[in-house]
Amino acid sequence: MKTQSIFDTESALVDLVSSCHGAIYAYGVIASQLTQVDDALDAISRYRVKRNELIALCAELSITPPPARAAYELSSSITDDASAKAAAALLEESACAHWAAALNYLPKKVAASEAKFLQSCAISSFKWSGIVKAFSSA
Amino acid sequence: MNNTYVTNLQKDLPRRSFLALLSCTGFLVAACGKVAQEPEISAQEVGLQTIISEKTRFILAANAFAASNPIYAPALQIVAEHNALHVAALTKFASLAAPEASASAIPEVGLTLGKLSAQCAVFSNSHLEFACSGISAELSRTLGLIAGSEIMHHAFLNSIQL
Repeated sequence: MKTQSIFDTESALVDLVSSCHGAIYAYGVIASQLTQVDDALDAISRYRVKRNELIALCAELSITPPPARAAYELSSSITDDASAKAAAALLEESACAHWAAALNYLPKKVAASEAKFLQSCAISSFKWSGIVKAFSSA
Repeated sequence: MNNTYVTNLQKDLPRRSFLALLSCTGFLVAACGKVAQEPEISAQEVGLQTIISEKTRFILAANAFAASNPIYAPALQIVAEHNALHVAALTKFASLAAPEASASAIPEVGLTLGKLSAQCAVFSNSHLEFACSGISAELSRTLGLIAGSEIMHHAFLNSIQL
């Protein structure tokens, strides 16, 4: 989920779809190490719904969405419940940064819903870690 | 002939000087008029100044509430510090000096942790709306990150309410 260069609507949507693919993959690994998996499974559902919405928007705008890769590099080692929660918090924080970078380039009709999604990522990050931050890092 | 020419020139000079003076005066008046006009402020600048001003007031209010409710002081200190960082980040985009918030602007009466928390959510929603309003890309990104932090503050303050 490394930040790609965002400079127009197409690059913004491509980056967000890639972020969703990466998050879905990462949450699969995270869920495998959590003692309580419900929140991770809910997060996978949330990102799947968002990915599908974004892919539909890409089709509407004649933009080719990026396919999911077989695997993604994880930002940290996930070996137990604590490291899985820390990785989930970092993942959501990173998603927040991706959506923040994309906001300016998204079509007006989806701006409000994507802004809500950014907020849901920030709240998830706080729920996973219990830590509030002044800025999210990508 | 030469004398006549000199004489005419001498007669002409005061009139020319007067016209030149009139022209200069007109130019100066026009120039002064331009200086005296209010500088045109962009919608982005107006929005930015409003955010900075509101956040500054919020910090004062949070600090005042923390002083009278020490149990919440550690949490509010974090939130206030983050808001100060937000103000510092936003000030970089402002072309005008940030307005100072007066202590009298703080609504001390009836202030609760719930109201401060609600204000964080209001900030987040309104700053995301501003981020999507066609402002500069970098300011939009910064406001998106700030809005993420603000909604975290809302969740955080809600989680510690007694």
